[in-house]
Parts: sequence; C-alpha cells; structure tokens
Amino acid sequence: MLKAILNFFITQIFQTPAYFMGLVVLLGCLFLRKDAKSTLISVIKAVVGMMILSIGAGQLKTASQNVIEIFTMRLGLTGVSTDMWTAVYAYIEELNLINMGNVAMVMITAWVVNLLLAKFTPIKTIFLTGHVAYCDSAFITFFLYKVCGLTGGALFVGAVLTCAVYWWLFPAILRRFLTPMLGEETPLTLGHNLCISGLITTQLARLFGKKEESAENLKLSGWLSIFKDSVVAYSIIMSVIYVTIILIAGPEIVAKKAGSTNYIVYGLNQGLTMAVGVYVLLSGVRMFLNELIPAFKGFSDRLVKGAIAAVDSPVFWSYGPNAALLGFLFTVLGQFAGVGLLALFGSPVMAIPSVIPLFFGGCTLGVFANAWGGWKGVIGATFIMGIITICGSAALAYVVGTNFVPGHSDWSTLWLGVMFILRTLFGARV
Amino acid sequence: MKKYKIGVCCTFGAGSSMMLKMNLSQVFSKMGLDATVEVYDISGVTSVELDAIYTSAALAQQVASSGTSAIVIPVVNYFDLAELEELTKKHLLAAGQE
Repeated sequence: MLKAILNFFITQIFQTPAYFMGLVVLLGCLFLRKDAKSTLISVIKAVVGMMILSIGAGQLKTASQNVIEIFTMRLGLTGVSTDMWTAVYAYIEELNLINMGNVAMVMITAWVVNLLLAKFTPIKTIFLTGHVAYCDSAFITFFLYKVCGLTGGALFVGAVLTCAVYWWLFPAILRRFLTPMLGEETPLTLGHNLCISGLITTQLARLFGKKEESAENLKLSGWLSIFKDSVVAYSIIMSVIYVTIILIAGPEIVAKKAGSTNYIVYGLNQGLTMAVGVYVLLSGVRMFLNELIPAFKGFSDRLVKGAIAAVDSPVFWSYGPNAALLGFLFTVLGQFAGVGLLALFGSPVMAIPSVIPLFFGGCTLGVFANAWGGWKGVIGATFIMGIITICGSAALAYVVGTNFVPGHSDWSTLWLGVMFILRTLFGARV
Repeated sequence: MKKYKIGVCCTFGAGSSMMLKMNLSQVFSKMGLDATVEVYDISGVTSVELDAIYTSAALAQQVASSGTSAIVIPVVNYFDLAELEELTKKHLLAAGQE
C-alpha cells in the first residue's frame, strides 16, 4: 500500500512538471509562513502557469518546425532554429522518451547547489533569472544526454552540477568586466547566457573604440525602439525571416505543408504564430515565476549574507539605452553576415536567426561594449559577435545532432567548446 | 489612506521586472504605502488601469507614448532602494497631493 502511494507520488506528481512546480511553491509558501488562502492561490498559479508555458512553447515549436522542414526540402540543408523556447520544448519532448522530461527538478536542485556554493565559498553569486534557469536546465540535460549518452541518475546529477557551476561561477567572472558600468560596490551581475560572450564583447569593444565616445551621444531613429515590445519584435522579425525562406522555397514545395493556403500568407502565418506562442508562453512564465522567485529570494537572503544577485539582461539596458539599440542593429547585421558566410562556405547546417539572440543578446552586448569602447566599440563588437553567434549555433547543432539550439552567444562559444570536447571524449551521439 | 495600484514593466515582464517588483514592495512597506504591485510586459501594461508604472529608463518613453493614463516612472538602478524611494516621493506622492 505504502509502495503504491509512493509510486503514485513519484510517477504522477514528481515527474509532471506542472505539479512538481506546484509542490515546490507549496514548500516556499510554508517557508514564508503564508496563510492558507494565499498559499492556495500561489500553488494554483504555479501549476497553471507551467501548463500555459507548455502550450505557448508548443506553438513555437510547430511554427519553427514547419519552416525548417520547408527549408530542408528546398535546399537540402539542415535548417536550425535558434529560438531558446522552441529548443526547450523540442528538448523536453525528446527527454520525455527517457523519462527525464521534468527539467524543473534539475532546476530546483541546481538552485539549491548554487545556494550552498555561495554560502560556503568566497564567490557569492545567486542566480535569480528564473526563466533562464528553467531553459538552461533543459539545455544542459539534453546536451549531456546527447553528447555523453548519460541517462537516469547520472544524467540528473551531471546536469544539476553543470547548471549550478555555470550559474554560480560565470556571472562572477563577468562581474569584473562590468565595473566600468556598475562600479565596484553594486552587488549585481548578469544572470543570463551571455557571460563568457559578454566578456569577449567587452574586450573586442576595447579594440574598436574609446569608452569616452559613448553611444549615448548619438541620435538614433525612433523606429528602432518599436522592437522593445516583444510582440512587435517577434511579429516583424520572424515574419520577415520566415517569409524570406518561404519565397526561396517557392510555391510548389510550400504547398506540401500549406495545402490551399497561399504560400506567402502561410509564411506570414508561421511568423505571427511565433509572436502568439511567445506571448502565451510568457504569461505562463510570469505566473509561476511570480510565485517562485520571491520565495527563492527570501530563502537565499536568509541563508547567504552579502550575495551578488545574477539578474536578467534588461536590468542593464538602463545604463545605455542608445547603446542597447545600436547593439541590436549590428547584431542583426552580424547574424545575417554569418548566414551569408555559412552559405558561402557551403555549410551543411544553416542556422536561422531568431528574436531572442538578436534583440536580448544584441541589446545587452551593446550596453557592455559601450562601457568599454563607446559607439565604435558597440558597432565592431556586436557585429563580430553576431557572426560568431550564428556560425557557432550551426556548429553546436552539428556537434549535438539536433535541429534546435538555444541561440544565445554563450551556447555558440563556451558550450560549443565544452560539447565538442565531451563528444570527442565520449565518442558518439545518441 | 489611498491604495495604490502599481505596475512594473519590462520587455518580457518575466525577469528584470520581477526584481524591480520585489525591491519596490520592500520600499513601499518601509514607507508605509498600501500598494499592490503587478508585473507586465509593454503590450499588456497599457490595457490595465494603474496609478503608476515603474519601468527601465530605457523603456520609459515607449511606455509613456503607448497611451496609458498612469504616471510613468523611469528607474536607472533597480537595486538602489534609495533611488526607488526618492522616485516614489517625487512622482507618485507629489501627484496625489495636487
């Protein structure tokens, strides 16, 4: 009887991401000594939020997959999506096959390890970007599975330790390079997949210009600022990219997917579906993070004194709003130049640019570059990082063996290197 | 005492605005203000009735021009609680006294 109950608990609650998240939030509420009413509300929102997330991400995956398949049919190249949420969904689908799809469990355990590392070592970084932590958990688990062939407990432990060290150590390394922007004292650093690449960007920027010639003195077109709205950014950027691919493919090939729908309209539909998917997804993410993050922060405040908070990228944009937009613009140009280079050298894998690396990556790297090399630094460094990001994404997809990669520039630099070494050591892909 | 409805807004409404929300809640309770703080993204924030919207200095203009009737308060350092208190006194409380 006891065994049956335990079994039910493990297979039905613990391995279902939504209920698992509800359980974690329940513990958080008990820890914060919330009353029964607000505990009930919090738990419901965490569970429903996770369910909304997976519906939104499913939309993204379907739309991207359609375009990738069309791309592959026409050009015979492997198309690769660089949208992080699409990758999360695709990876979890595959991880479900080996019963490792509940990456929230990796995330929560890795967070605890991060707290312990911060408590007992001199490096006090606490990773507070919840949605990135969720994505990273999916990415790392999937990569270790694919590249090293790990499964079960070994995969779980490997993913937990890798995530924890990445969240704890790399934001701390980057922190030194943010001093021109934040000063010595501010207990902040970036908690995102732009740590090593952020460091590279600052040093590239230094080669191109002087920080005294700040991008903030430039006048930029007001049009660029419309991309700050994620719905608008996704709609415009993904529609342009997808319609371009559809036009290259031509009506005959697209018709295999589109049926009687006009092929250009079909491309537009897929682009706009990306905006829909992201909007739905984010309302879910917001819902469960609203319950999770304050509990985690309350916990870490009590446990770790003098913590350095590793936080999401837009926190830094206010240190250089103009530099952010300039960085975005030249990341776009750089990534498209990267696509050109891949085509020129006949790469069998083609990475398709996507909004999150372009906008969130571009803006953040732009601000960092400005602090070290002014506007010339922003232009030079983000352009080069754009090329590296897109070529690295294609290479990562090849090394791991997938059509979906996370897209942010740490995955195209640091993790590409790590996965290449691991694959060489372990010999084979799953 | 007036109960304030406050919005916090960033591009996605998931990461950085959550940090600002927690810091603001701390500042409000220290100042003894009765306020609910909710997180939004740029598209969502215009469709709700709010007293004030705290947002990044990089996004303030975008939010202000979206047709919201709320006071838009640009923040530079999300983690500088003194700055947040100052901004609250200057923008939110001053507007209430008119």
